[in-house]
Amino acid sequence: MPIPLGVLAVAGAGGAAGGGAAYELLESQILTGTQATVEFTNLNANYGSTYQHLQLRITARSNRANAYDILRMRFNGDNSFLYSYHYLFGNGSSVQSDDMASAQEILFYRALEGNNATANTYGFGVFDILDPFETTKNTTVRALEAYVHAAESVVSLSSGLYQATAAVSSIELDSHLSSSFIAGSRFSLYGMRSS
Amino acid sequence: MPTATWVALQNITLTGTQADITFSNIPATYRDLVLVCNSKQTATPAQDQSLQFNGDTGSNYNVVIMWGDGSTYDSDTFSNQTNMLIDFYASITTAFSNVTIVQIMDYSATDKHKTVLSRANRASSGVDAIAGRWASTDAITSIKYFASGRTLDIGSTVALYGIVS
Repeated sequence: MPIPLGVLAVAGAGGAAGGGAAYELLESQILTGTQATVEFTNLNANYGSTYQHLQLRITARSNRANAYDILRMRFNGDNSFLYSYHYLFGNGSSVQSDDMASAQEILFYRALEGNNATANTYGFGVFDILDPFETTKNTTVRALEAYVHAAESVVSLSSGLYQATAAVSSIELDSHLSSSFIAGSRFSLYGMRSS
Repeated sequence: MPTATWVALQNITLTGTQADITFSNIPATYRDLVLVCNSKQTATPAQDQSLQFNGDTGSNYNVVIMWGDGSTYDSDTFSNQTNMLIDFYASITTAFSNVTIVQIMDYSATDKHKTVLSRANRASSGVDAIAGRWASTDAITSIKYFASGRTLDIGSTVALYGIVS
């Protein structure tokens, strides 16, 4: 069974004992115009009883007048100081790491390009969200994200924590630097079924 | 209504030695592709695995690599290359000891350069995280997998999956 990026994504062709598809598209937003925020809503109501984990697959670019931007993720509209994150990245000349605790969001520094990056290039990443609907567990995220353009190329392994046990009902994505996603940016949400 | 999403497109296992494994006539039906590679080569020394898209041998491939070998870690970039590296320290050898999983994002979009995330592992050598860009807006219709200057050995397997969006 293929296991992309580690533990999460599973083959949709079926699992043990002849089970059905396990990895399914839930929703996808492909922007046709500039948009400040992308939200996935009613998640627990629509998917909480069926899915154990979520995966976001993103290619995104903003209208920020710079080569890079910063992707911000929040859950349930919560901007209180309940988030932490780490990242380990390579920029072509060195490997570095940093973190933030008691933050108001999870920031992904390499998943979103700005509008001065090479034409037709987008930041990209795969984000696994573990146990978002469990009410006895905090919600955790891990990602492999990158941008590769003429000015700079960086690949990053990132992790995030939302220190709340409330089921995730919404995911909000926007630019931490107050810009907007441009047309062509793509945000696809997948679910991995519980047994 | 959820949609069955992860579709096995083709699984190629070599029954004879071969210079490369190529997937052709890839339909534009999916949003992303995933390659799962478990291969070996017929001779030493170890060699990195590479991809080429649509038969493009031009200098259009760019990667950034983050790697660790157990004692050292570092990052490198290779720009304007004629193929896309999908490993660096997790190169393949004459024994099955490597697994490499490659995500190819928005492969059929015609308004984006094609981007790739690779995670490659060989416990006896190292671990890599690689991001790549093919500087083309063409939809990917074929993928050539190879280890430059080497011959892939019998039993090597590369599986291609499509992800719906």
